[in-house]
Amino acid sequence: MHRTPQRPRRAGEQATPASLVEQRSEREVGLSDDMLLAGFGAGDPAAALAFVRRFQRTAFGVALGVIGDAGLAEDIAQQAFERAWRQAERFDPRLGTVRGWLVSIVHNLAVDAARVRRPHPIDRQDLDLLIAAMAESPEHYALAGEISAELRQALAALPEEQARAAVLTAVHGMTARELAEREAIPLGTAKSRIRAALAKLHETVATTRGPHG
Amino acid sequence: MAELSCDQCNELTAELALGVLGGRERAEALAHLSRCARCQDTVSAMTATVGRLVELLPEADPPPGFDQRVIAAMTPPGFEHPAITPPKADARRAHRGVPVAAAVLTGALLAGGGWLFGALFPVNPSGLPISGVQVQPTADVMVSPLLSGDQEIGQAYVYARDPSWIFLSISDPAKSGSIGVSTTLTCELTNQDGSTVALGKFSLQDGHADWATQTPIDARSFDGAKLTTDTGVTLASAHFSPRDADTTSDAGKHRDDSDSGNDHSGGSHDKDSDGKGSHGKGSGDKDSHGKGSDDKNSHGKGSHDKNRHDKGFHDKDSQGK
Repeated sequence: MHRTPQRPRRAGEQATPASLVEQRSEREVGLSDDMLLAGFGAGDPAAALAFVRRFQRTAFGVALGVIGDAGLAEDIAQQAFERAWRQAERFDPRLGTVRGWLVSIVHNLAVDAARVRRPHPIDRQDLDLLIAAMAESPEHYALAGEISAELRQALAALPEEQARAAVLTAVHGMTARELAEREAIPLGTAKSRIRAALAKLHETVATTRGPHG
Repeated sequence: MAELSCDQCNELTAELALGVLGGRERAEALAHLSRCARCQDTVSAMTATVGRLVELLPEADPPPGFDQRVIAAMTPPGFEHPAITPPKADARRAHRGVPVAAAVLTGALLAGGGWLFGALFPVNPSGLPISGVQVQPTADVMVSPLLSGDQEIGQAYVYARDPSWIFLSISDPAKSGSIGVSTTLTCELTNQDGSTVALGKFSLQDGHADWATQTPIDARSFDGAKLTTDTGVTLASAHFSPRDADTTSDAGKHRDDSDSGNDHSGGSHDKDSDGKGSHGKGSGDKDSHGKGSDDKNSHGKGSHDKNRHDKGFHDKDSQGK
């Protein structure tokens, strides 16, 4: 395992290779997400470190939200960064933000992992907490753009059963049938909850004029 | 399988965008989408919304050291950390790290190797190489000079454990005359029985190149590598097997071995001191930090980092090449 570079260094202490990467990495902090991703994809170790640091809370948060286990979430997040590195060239800024792109990479890996072995299905209480966290007002989220703020509000405004339907399908990848079983409702009801929830959320996004995310 | 109308397909928009539609419904919907651009747009738009919804997931701190572990997992075995050191102010202060021209590896290698192999060759997003990058091999990596006749034109590094790879660093400015300014070279693995395995081709830029590839290496039969030009002429070779007597006696020694290992890097550094610096193309981090040797001591890997390194340097002065 590698040393975690110590900061601050004592005067006169020689810089280690790792800490030199750190120094350069700190200078990368001012780069835009797109530039950082480009450096990461090109194999620049300082850009790589800066990229991981910039987005590690995002990646881990998504993985944890889906899989519910910190150890598995770390594995998933790590795989996601490797995939992002390999696919960095494929990122198209016209299609979305770097953060959104990375989130989808993590999410796909996490949902696949959950299908194979989620430790246990998310329990009702955790689900309510998760929904509340997602619907939380944007002051807590530095990244919130206009669209995400509206989306949070729209989620908060959904009837509870529709919010659960939206999150269980969008985040946890549940099918309508699985939702019906979990909520003990007919399949038709499950489908209409899903459609109603997504339609309302989508309308918010579609009518909000704003920059990415 | 029924053909869906747009209305029927619209009913399925949410589930399609969520990726949770299955079986026949999904097949029917996809069939409709393949014929209907408008419904396709509808689903695309909904897919974007689903993506934004997932982005609302709260962030969370990963366990400490996560970032280091992620990077470490992408670094090739044999190279613990690429040491980013600026070009030496004093070209005579040769050190173990071999200056690496910041060439970009082929995309195939980066993708197939599964490592941040590019970490060895940092490139600015603008594409300009960053000079002054030093490679810090560990004790598991063998190095040997690439000799054209008795002229050293570069080094070959080999990591013979699984997953094995070979890395060549060539720096032969036109002054040696043995190779052209821009040449395509073929690299082959050579075995002790004389057989060869083609590894790939690469080009020199202004007489410089850095190139690496993963390849199976059987330490028992492996001899070295050779470079041939496109006319089939053998340009240079490196030998790692101990029986070879043509190269200097230190060929193929591990880094933690004799000082003569320094000769190789010393040799190349001499070349560099002729003005190429660390293949100084483009901009570099020109801090005055050229303490390569100390970096290696603090690298803490043990054997090849000992002060013997400095002693080796002095010895190099007294030894011939």
